[in-house]
Amino acid sequence: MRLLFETFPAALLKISAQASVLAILILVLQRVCKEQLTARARAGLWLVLVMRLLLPVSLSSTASIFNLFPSFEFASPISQQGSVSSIDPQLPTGLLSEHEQISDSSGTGRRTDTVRHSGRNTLSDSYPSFTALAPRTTPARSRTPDAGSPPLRLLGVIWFCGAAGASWVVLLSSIRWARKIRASRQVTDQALLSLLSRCRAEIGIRRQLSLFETSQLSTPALYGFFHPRLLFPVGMLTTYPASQLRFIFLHELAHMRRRDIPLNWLRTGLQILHWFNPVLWIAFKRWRIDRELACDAIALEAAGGSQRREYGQTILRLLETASHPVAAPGFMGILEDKQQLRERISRIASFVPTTRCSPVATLLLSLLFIAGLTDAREAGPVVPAGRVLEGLAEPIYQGRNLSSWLQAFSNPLSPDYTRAKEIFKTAGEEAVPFLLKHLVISHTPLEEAQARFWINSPPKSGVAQTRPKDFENQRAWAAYAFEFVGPSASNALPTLIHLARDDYFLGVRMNLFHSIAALAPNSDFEASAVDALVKNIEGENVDCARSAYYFLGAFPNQAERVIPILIKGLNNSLMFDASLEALQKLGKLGVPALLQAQKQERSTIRPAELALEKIDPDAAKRAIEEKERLPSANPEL
Amino acid sequence: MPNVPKISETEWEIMRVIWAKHPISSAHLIRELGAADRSWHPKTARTLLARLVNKGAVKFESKGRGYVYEPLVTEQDCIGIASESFLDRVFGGSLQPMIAYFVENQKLTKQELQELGRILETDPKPKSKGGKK
Repeated sequence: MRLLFETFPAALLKISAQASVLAILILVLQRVCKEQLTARARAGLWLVLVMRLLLPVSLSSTASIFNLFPSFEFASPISQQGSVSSIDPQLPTGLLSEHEQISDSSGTGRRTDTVRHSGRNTLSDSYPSFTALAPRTTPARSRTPDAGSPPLRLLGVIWFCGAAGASWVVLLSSIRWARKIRASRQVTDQALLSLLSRCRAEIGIRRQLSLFETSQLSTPALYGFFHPRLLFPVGMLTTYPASQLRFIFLHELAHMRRRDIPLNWLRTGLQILHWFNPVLWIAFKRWRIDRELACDAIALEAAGGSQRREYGQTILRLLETASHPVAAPGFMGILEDKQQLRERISRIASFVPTTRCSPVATLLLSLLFIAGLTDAREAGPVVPAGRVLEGLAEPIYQGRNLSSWLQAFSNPLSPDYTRAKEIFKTAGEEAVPFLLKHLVISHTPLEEAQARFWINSPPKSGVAQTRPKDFENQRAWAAYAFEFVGPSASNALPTLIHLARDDYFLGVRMNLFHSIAALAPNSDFEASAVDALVKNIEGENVDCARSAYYFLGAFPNQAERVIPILIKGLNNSLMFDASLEALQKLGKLGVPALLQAQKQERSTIRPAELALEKIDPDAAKRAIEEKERLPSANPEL
Repeated sequence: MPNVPKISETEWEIMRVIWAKHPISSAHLIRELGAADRSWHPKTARTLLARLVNKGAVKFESKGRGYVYEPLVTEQDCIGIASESFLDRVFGGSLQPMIAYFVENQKLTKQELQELGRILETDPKPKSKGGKK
């Protein structure tokens, strides 16, 4: 359901907007290059629009016209602390699910930032030398808004109803037509049939085509998808001379050659999907007109350009005898249709047969292709991250490379352990990309496959033990190393936060707490760092939770949010110590809430009071005295 | 042309005979229909004829011993009526993907037709050398 009413319409909206831009561009081009474009070229331009509508995903290019437009996002609530979206960190996803997105998990919706990621191996945007050129996919999934966003859902439902309604109308129309045409009479006149054959040869159509007469039409038409047939109004085949009938045959056969009926169905389908978009309505209407002009051109070429006046006369004769009463002026008003007629006749009058493909048209078409079909690309140095790192050797420190130093973390007792810490401290910024590479990007395809296998199976703490051990450990060590790299890792912070929150391996998560607690406070990512910690608190693993409680103390700016959590933590015997230490770090900030909590404590175990005593002994003393003074119905006393 | 009736394809068969041979009695009509196409059932013919009378396409007069039928509309008037529903007209053919008309019929005034004729007759504007249309 969500897919139908939210994901799909959201994607459709984006495609529709892009297509509208392209449609306007085509219309403008057609007007500007009116003289240079043949009718067939005009009609051909619209195929670019169709391709745009059919391709949701495309390659990036700086030549794309969509670079002119701001990135079209359905953003989750944006941080009020700063413009997070300008960074738009793109996270490596070698091992992470493509569908994830940190959204407002605190429920208050206030100060959250969004950390979005796409499904490609890239490093953070703000890490300049490694901005990635990924074919930036814009799959709908990575851009959908939060689950259950009500206004979007409503719009999605409206869209669906509109599309369903329109489909219904088309279906009914098609059934009605089938019924009407069913009783038409096949024409067997040999002269006419051989004229038709000759015309088929002239246009170049091998497919068989039958000729029918009907009273239900006042103008000749081509009808039918599977078994196309030429329909003529009753009497016309006998009243009109063969020369004029030939023109009509040629025109309708031109429709066949251009596969216009299947294209019609495609156009109708797209029209239904995009029923809400007026620009596309206009574009499609123009396409229909251009299509007719193109068929005229093909027919005239086959007939010989000198016949153009006779061709035009045929049309006029048909118009003269039209008995069709136009009762209701439709929205696509009559006036407009008359102008189209004018255009059609004047093009016929000035028809010049051309054999070469107009160079102008070809050029325009190619430019349109590139500009209209490619997606906007992010500017900036364009270096594929993974490939650069593969090319570069790891830095060497004291004769050993970075991986080797990471290995040193396996044995806390060896002297290398401390040495490794020092190494990473001095290495600083230089080490960060390589650490990230260890942390999030698999080394070999086999390892990546293994990792993916483990991701897709539901993470349980037992499963972690049986994974390829070294690989996981290396990741955990890389996470640990970030502690020592210090402030130079700030640029990688979004990645680190994301991993701390969502990585499947608790070793990685826990090791990252230290780094994010050191780097995130007073940055734009404070709130999402707290999100990450909170998620671990709510998780299954006790050690992780305990560690998370502890590190919550590093976020005084988020005190409003963090302190209630810590006070709850006090009441959990396993978490008491960690919560207490965190509260101690927060100092006076926690005192009011603690006082409140202390007042409500009744049992012999009074964690809030204990905490208060440690943090602010004077306040604690006063509170205790006050409590003893008040008479209270205390069942335990 | 306000009230031209909609005539289906089968009713058209009957109308053809009437147009060709009016005034015509119902018995004669049925004979003619049967001669052209064996599958015509007299009862069907009578039902359709009654329907045509109700629609106002045909009137009957008393003549001698029975009734004869006369058409009220010409063949030309009836062709193609109701080939489009209201919605079809409004959305201009986007809802009719299965059909490609030669001309989208318009009711044009004499002046408009004449004007189009003039456009057709004008010589094309002098173009630059090798110019495409």
